[in-house]
Amino acid sequence: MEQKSSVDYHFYFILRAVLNHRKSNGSPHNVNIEVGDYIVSTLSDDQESDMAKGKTETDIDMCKGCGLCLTACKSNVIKLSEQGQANKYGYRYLMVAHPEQCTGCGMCALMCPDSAITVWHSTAKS
Amino acid sequence: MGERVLMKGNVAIAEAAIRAGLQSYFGYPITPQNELIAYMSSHLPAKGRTFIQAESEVAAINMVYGAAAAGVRCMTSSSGPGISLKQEGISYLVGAQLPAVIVNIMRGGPGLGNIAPSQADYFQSCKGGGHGDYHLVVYAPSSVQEAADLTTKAFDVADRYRNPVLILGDAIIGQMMEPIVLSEVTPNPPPKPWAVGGARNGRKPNLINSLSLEEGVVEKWNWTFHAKYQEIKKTEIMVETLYCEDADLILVAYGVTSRICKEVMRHARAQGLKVGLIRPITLWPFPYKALAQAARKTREFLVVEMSVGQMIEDVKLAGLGEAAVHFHGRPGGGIPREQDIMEIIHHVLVNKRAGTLTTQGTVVDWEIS
Amino acid sequence: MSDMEMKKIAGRSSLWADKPSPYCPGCGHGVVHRVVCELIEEYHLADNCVFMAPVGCSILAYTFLGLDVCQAAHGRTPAAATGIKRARPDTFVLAYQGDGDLASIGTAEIIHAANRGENITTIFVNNAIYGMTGGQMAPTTLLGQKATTCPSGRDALSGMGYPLRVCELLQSLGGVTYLARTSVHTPGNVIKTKQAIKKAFDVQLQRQGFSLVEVLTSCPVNWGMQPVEALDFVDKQMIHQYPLGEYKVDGVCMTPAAKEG
Repeated sequence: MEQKSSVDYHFYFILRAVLNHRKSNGSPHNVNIEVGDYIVSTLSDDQESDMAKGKTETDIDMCKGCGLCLTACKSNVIKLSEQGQANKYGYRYLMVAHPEQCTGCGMCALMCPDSAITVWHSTAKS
Repeated sequence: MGERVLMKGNVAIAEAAIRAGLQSYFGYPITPQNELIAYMSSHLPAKGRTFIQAESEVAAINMVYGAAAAGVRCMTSSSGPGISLKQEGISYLVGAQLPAVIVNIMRGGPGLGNIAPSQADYFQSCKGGGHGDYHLVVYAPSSVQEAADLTTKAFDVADRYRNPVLILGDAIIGQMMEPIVLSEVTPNPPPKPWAVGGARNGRKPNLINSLSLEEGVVEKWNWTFHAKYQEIKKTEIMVETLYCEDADLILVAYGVTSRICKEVMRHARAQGLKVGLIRPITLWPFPYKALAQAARKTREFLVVEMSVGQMIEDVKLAGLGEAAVHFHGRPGGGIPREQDIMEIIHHVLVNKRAGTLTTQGTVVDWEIS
Repeated sequence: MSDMEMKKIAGRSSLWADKPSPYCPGCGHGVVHRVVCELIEEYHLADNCVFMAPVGCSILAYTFLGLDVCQAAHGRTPAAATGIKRARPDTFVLAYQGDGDLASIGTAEIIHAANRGENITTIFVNNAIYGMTGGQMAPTTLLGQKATTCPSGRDALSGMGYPLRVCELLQSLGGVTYLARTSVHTPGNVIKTKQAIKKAFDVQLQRQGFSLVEVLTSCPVNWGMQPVEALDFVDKQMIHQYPLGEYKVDGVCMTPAAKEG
């Protein structure tokens, strides 16, 4: 993995909710994450200029489709699956529709009663 | 040899509990056990242990539940009406497998009743009282010394089986003063790895709970408790039998009533009447076998209770074959009189049931109805 | 190629088992549990902590929280918590109660535990209804609100009583050090809930007496509303009856101004 020589940091919330988190099945990443760890991903230069300041992921099987998160997202990032698209417990679930618009504010996760949403906030300046 | 002191029953129970390693006492005032809670209030805080006069008997039994969950030796005391309030908490103690000692200094009832002695909480103590399939180990002391000794034992038995234990006294036991010997016990509570609270240091979290919505779990728990009770029946029965080998009539009584009966037995023997006594000390587990054994030779049994007849049902359940069972009872604060009991003995053994009895509350050839 | 460093700022607590919670979609319990778990982790309390589960929907917390849990009889949570805390003063004791447990059958126990200044922290989840048992009227049910035991709506004039304001009730008790009422119907209010519960935790950790945070939450299923619709009920109706704010700080009574959620 190539590393940029300098990394800029944004101010970010310190909402430390997780010490250890094993990511849900189906995710492209399968790592144990300790608090303070960073996910380092690579983006092209084009992507970097467009990049979101945050990343949201949902645990589809923990989600019950209540929709409270949707009231909190101001950036139109997330949406519920279509009618008929259900998780293994029969609930419609949350999907990330426009990941590029995510600001990493974490408001969706604040509202979630099922701790089904994980949010990352970028520490790099765009 | 420990110190010999003159002590009131309520106080003796309290002091014995403290020496047995009582850490937390929660109670509420009710006559005739108020000396017990007062003693605790003046002795426990000085030893750095917990004393709370709770807002109600309900609150007190639930504080006991919490303290027991935290793994400490704990106790509450009350009289009939307060023990009624505690029934929910007692059922929860059993369901969560928590050790605790509960003291009932019985008074006249039902309802508010009076503050005189009675034995009308036998059913409440031995046949449930609270909801669900369970038993308490029930000790019935007949003297202040025995009250102290059984209290000491109660904590060990409660811890051993993880089940609450009841000390069943009455207003006389609670109020009378007798010289007793208080021994220096070294409390030896077993480790309680199941308790909650305290630094876990990597221990898996514990759960104190009596609910499960999963199929089959509560049924399984009930069989576990049942097995515990079978074990208790095998090892914890306590009964005193006096002069039964050649007895023509055996008195059956517990608690302070048994002391009255002991006096009657002594007088009867002096008159040449062959009278014996069986005194259950554990009311649960009940000494059915001792009674059945005695019934092989003895044909007359006289049950004496300060009630309208509760333990007598267990006496009948023992299966006394051909033997007749008679009853003399004084409920609502009445105390059986020696002369009344003697009259019944004469009626049965001497007059061969001829003539009329003058005593109230007497049933010859008692049958369940 | 450039790298973007991402820091995780929200997710599932390590105290939460890897399975869905047993609560209904949109239930407020999940949010409050999450906040509580975050604080327990931040304060490193998990190793020496007892979570008192009440009778009510949140009795089920024991099925998925990785803490010592003691489940108590209905309403008796403050008494059982007292027993534990007095036996183990260094253990963090968190009592978690609902409307029935705290405001109905348990009114004596909460008043006296508070009055004695028991060093425990109580979270009172107020959703104006009885959830677990299928939607009966609670002491906190609003006037006019319908429930299975007041099908025409709660009516004080026909003897159904008035909505019980627990913070106002407990305010006068000497043993109470911190008292607050918050809600979780918007992200901002979730943050305020966490701030209030944190202050309540501090009171216990500093051995300063009794602390309680009342959290207004929604019960969509028993209110007969969709989860998002239920947030509106909290915002437009519950807060009017149960003003948000701090009612006692450091043992001093306060009168919260009615604020917007």
